[in-house]
Amino acid sequence: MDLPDRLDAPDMLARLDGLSPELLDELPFGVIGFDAEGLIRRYNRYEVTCAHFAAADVMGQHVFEELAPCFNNYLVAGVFDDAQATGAPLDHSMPYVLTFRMKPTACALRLLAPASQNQGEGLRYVLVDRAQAAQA
Amino acid sequence: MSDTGGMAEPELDPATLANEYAGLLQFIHMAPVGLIQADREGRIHLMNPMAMQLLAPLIQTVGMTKVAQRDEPLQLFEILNVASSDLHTLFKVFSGHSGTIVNNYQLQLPPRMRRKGSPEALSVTAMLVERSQHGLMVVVTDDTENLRMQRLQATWRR
Repeated sequence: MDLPDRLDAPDMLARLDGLSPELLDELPFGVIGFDAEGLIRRYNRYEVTCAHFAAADVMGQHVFEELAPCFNNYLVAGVFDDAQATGAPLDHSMPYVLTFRMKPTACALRLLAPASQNQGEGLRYVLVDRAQAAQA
Repeated sequence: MSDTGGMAEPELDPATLANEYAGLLQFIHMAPVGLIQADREGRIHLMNPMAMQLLAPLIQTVGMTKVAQRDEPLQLFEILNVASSDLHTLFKVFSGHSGTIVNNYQLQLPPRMRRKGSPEALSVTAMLVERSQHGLMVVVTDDTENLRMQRLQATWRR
């Protein structure tokens, strides 16, 4: 299995969907996968290590209302809402500043969502690369 | 265990302290107003999610990539100067060791900075807290509705 080794790797959504939890844990960036209701279904080791939340604790939490309120704004959650409204697939990358434990932390985000007709089945993803921001 | 006025003070064990700290952190994290702690040079040491959300149009104009590339902390005055340098001037001329520097200062965001869902104006209150390492406390709120009301009232007066 050819794992995506960079945040900007091509065909990311399809590749993520095809990865087992074990392979997801090998990725060099954080993966938060959530369903149409915003409930977390996938959470990899990178995020466990950086965010200090156990995967078992975050599964089923609402990604924007419970896990990551710092994403619950027009910059991140709003982008997913807009994509859903238009029906188009979402693949949007941007630099961002996390406020975990109130410490401003620069990172790079990539927001992914399938086209609306598939949204009942497919997951949406927020990918987080804290190292890329430091190395840029 | 100390005894104050006949009432014994309970000792705080590490687990209780940890729980209280976590609760306090969560309280600040979820606050519906932007909270920033910085030093007198404007280096931001703490900021909650709402502060990031409200300042995002300014941070993005500075260039979030540029911000992300640096190792040093975010610079509050660099961010605020995007909208107006008046605030930074007020901070610089404040000579006291403590006290309110600005109170509900309205910072209007130029239209080019606005996006869907972003504020049109911010209200900034800043205080200097004496004997604090990072003594600058800044509160930021969305002042968009107030700005719109001011504009509406201005049209009534014509």
